[in-house]
Amino acid sequence: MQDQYLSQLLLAVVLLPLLSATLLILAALFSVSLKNILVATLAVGAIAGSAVCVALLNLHLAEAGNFSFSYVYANWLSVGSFSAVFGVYLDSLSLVMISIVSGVGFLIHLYSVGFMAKDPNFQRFFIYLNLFVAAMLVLVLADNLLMLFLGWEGVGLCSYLLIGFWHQKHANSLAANKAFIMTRIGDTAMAIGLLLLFMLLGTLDIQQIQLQAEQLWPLQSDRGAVFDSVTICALLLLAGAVGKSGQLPLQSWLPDAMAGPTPVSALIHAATMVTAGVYLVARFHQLFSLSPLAMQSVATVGAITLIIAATAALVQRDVKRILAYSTISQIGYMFLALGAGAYSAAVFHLMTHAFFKALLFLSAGALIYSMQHQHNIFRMGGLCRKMPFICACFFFGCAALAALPLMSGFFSKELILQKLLDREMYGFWLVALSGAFITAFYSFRLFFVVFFGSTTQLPDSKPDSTMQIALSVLVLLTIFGGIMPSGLTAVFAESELATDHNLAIILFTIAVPLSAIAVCWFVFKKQLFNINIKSDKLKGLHNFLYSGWGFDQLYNALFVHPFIKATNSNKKDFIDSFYTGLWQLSQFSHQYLNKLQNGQLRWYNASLVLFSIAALTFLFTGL
Amino acid sequence: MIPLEHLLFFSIVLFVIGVFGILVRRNLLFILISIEIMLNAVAVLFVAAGNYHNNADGQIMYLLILTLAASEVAVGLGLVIQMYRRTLSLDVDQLTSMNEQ
Repeated sequence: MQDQYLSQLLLAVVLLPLLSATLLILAALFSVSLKNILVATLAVGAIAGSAVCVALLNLHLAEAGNFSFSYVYANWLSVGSFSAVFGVYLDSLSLVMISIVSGVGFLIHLYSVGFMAKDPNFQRFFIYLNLFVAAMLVLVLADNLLMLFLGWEGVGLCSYLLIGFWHQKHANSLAANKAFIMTRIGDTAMAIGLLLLFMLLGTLDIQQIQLQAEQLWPLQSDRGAVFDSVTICALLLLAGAVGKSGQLPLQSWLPDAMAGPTPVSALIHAATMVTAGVYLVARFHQLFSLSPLAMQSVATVGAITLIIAATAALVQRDVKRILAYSTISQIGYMFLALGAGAYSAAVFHLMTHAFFKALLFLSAGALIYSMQHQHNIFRMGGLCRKMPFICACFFFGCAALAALPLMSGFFSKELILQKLLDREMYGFWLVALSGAFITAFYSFRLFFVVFFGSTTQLPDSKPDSTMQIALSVLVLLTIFGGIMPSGLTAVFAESELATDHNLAIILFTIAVPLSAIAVCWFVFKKQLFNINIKSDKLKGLHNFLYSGWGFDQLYNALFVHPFIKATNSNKKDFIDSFYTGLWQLSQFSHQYLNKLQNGQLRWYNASLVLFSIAALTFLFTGL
Repeated sequence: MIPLEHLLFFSIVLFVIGVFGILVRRNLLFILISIEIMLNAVAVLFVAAGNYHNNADGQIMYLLILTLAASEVAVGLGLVIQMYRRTLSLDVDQLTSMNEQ
């Protein structure tokens, strides 16, 4: 009875957004023109229904400490020994994920109603957005790898469509292509990993895979880091996660993905889709734990990305690019935590990050909306008085991003740092701490430059009421969302947090972002952010950081240009040369054989005679 | 009785004369005559072979060939007249209008 209740709720959670997307698509197909208000009611209502179902689930499962629930709705494929089902698996991890997706998704839908009100493609936008939420819910609820992959590709597709939403501008289409192709590299690796797991273990069920993996490849700590099959599988899955989450070496698509509408950046490229990689690693934590090498790779990737993206964010001028780089950097934190085995801390940070990054993006959207689509922060300034509400939103978002005490981001980042210390990973701890310093510095650089100093451009419109509602709820979540979801530690079979917090270290970690803000204020007062750099070396460094450590140039030189060269040299398509050759041969033989047909009767007779003689000779001698 | 070899040789010689005539003559009338010679070479061969086997079939074939030759000449002479009317000549090398390039 209880199972049925849960399964029906879960079905509703996934199907509501899908249903609304389908209805809107059908309306568009049969060119039924719907009023914007109707489209908005349908799309937002569906997500709201989804969110309500998730809330009911949360209520229902609040008492159950460590639960796991799986339900199979229908058979999808069964070929020989292979079978895949439409099944869901719900535990604390996926519950947290669906809460984020539907909750934050709902707020961003609500916000979009105001933000996109004047866009002629209002309906198309909400179709994509609804489809995205449905795909994301499939991804996090899937109980087998194939269904997970379905959701995985679904969110990739929606991300592509939404980045290129304003496709009339060529750069946006290019950004969409870039995102699609780069995540595709990771997805291919992940598909290979998926097939490899099926070949080795004969099942696609995620829980089964991990159970069997534990029996087949027991962890032998004395072996150290070696390449065995479990490591290869884990690394292939990691490659998929890296592509989706914008980590090194596939991170360069994410800053360009900001070409999409701002609510999209908030929903897909900050709060939900890009954290799918974190979810994937957390979901396969048993598998990853079996391979020390894979764990080290996860942590190393996270640590390096964290520093690269944070330093790149230091010098950006576009408000959305700053936030994009900070997203990459924060997901680096999550990967670092995953690699250190602090899964619950990583998922906790994922949750708080979803709140404060959605808030930051949405308030950036409201800012851009009111400033005639101005993205450059140095063209703004002194906006604190002019738009106090957005200023407050930005302040809380930046404070949470910088992990100021009592904000939600503080608790999760603190937990990650604490876990790193617990596991005696001092190198990574130092990296994370310096990352925290840089994070605080660039987030308050953004805040000070936009809201203090001299006014250069005045806002011309006020954010819509729906936008304000969404922002206010997100502010509350950002401030009070720092509560660790219960049951997460149980999912990962982690020991409870070590209680002997060293007070000195905690004070030190609190002091780091505060000192960064102090330094930032000092630099801002001296007006050093917007000066022209004179020295060549510094200018070179600035350009290097500005381009995100030159990864785009590197990939252009390594892959894009050689590829374009290769295609240019093969413009005539060497496979075609066979067919051209065939054509040329028949043309050639036509020219010569044509001369035989000269209309001379005696010539024909002679050839007839000659042939007869030859044939007779052959007949009599050959046989 | 004439030996078969002689007859065969005679027939082949006649046939070759006919072929040669077709190849070297340009006059349509002579080409028709050459064809007649070739037909007769074959007819001689039939008769000789029938005689050799003591069989009357060869002579029957000769009668058939004779009929064929007669009708062929009728058609052929008709064509000759047509050709002469159109081109005022009987030179077959001038009949190349099908070879319009």
